[in-house]
Amino acid sequence: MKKVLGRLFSMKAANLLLALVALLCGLSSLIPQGRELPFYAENYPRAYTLIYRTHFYDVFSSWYFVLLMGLLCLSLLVCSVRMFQRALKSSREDVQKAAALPNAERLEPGQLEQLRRWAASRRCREEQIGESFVFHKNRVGYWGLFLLHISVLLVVLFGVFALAMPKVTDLDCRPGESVSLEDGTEIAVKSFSMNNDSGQLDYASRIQIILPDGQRSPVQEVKVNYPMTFGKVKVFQWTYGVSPAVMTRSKLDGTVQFFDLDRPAFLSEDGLTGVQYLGTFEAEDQDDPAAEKTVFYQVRLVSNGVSMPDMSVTPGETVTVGDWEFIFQDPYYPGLRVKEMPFPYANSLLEAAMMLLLLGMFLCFYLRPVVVRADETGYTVAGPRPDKLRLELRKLLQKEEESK
Amino acid sequence: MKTLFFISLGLYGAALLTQLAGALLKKENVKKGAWALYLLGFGAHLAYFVWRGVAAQRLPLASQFEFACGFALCIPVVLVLLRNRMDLNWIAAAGMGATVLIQGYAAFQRMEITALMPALRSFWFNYHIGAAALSYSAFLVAACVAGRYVYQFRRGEPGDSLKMLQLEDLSFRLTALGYLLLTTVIVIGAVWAEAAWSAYWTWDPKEVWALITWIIYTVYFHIRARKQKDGYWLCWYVILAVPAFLFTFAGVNKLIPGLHSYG
Repeated sequence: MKKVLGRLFSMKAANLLLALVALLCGLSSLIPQGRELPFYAENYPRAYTLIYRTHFYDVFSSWYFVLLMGLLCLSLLVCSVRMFQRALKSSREDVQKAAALPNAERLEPGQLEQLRRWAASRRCREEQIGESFVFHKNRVGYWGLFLLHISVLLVVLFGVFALAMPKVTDLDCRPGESVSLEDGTEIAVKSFSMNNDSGQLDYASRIQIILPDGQRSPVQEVKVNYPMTFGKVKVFQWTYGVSPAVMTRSKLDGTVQFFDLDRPAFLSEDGLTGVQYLGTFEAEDQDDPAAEKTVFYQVRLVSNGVSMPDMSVTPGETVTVGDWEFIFQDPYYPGLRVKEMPFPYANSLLEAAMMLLLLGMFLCFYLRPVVVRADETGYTVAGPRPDKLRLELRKLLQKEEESK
Repeated sequence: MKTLFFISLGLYGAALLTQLAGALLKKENVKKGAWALYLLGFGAHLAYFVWRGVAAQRLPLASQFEFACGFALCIPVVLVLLRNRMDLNWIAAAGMGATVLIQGYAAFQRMEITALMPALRSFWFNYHIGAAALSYSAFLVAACVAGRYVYQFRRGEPGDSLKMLQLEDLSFRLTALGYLLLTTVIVIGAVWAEAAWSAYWTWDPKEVWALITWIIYTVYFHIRARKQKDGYWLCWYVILAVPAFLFTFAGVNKLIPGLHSYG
């Protein structure tokens, strides 16, 4: 049993799992992932049955991919435990163990001093154990592999958590209005703007978040790369929509009313005087065709049953007919993505694991432990991968001997 | 200023041809001339890169052309460091070939300077893309070093000689640098993706291929750690891994549409 488990969680098995994950990732590139099934039926009619049965339309949520990732996590866990034990043992005992090693290379009289100088130039520490001198450095590097493996495991686990746990909702909200989430959190959109910077549209909303306990965030701008976080809620500028609307105001008593203009309509109190809304149209700037198109309202004014010629009205413009003012609204509104995290700072766990991963790698690659044991008659190189250092030392000592 | 780009490409090409001629004729002076031409090419390349950055008012790594140009620029940087610190004259030929290859690829891309799209206007842009360019160049130079090992091995140099151990170790260290930078690219990319697209990971083709490249090099480090394969085998592995990151760099953008298809 122990042998079977040993093989199951060996490095060879880990490589096989990694190769399978890479293979599945590569295969997933052959067709677009995660689309609706009719897309595959239409575009890959011959392979559709195979795509459907093997869940090839969304490899990354298939049972076999999840199983592979699960096995990889198990392998990482077992490996991390082993690495921890090995690192603990090495960091505690490596100097003692090195001191007990027999000489692998001979030292001529006086060469121990050369070795000592080399060790000093490499900033190695020196310890005397019995008649042996042990030069060592970077012993913290023993922890690199453990940190690397455990952090990869944590990145995968926290990553799954970060992808699966938050509740993501896409909302539309007109400027000046607010929307409520299920838990009572309110998101108020103060304004929305679309900036056209060299032909690239940049959407921005100024929003405020009001938590169920009444706590209010400051009004903040959200746009791509700059979401807003308040409490457990994170709001992203996601998209935008067009929804024509008009505000009417009575000149007599100041009564204000809003109307969504989703179809042609005659806006009138008495049926004789008012504004006939015909529709909206987009027009491009003649001087700059690449610039964003502007939406215009197409309307016809009617006074006592007499129609005037059709006219175009720009958003924000006011038209007065009879006792009423018609203020045509900016038709653009933002689409916001709201991410409700299970608890504040949930993302920080993943980001901390990623930092740990980089630290583990740095320790592995750039703080490789060096342990050299020497006495008056010879020396030996211990620590991981000693061959190169052994030969370098041999060459160095030979060179110094020749120069004498 | 496009001329400066083509001058640098021409100088790199001339340096490569001169280096090959020097190797064939076994003339050290010719090789020195090749290196001088290469440095001149690097100077022109650097000047073009700086000019483009000033003209665009950002790090010029946004489009395929700019990235390829930056990637190619990183190769001589690594080569100059290696050549001067480790006295590795031979590395010039392979490095020059790699530079001409990447710079030549850049020459076929659209060169106009465009405004950075809003999604790319982020604090993370410079670090994410800059680390990717450095990572790929480290992998490419590692493969050049590995190529030298294979060449020497086939000429009868024993694999356990100090020279060969140093070559294999250098290939490993460069691969490790590339791997650390690639991991940084993925980590920064994930943090950036969360701010821009609301999710750390979206299985976008570029992400998937960066992961594939990462796994391929992870397996390399595993195999090396087990000490069951010799340097010759490991160096072949480093050489054969090259198409993986080249595909991540260029193939994905050309063949598989996704969130990273910026041009």
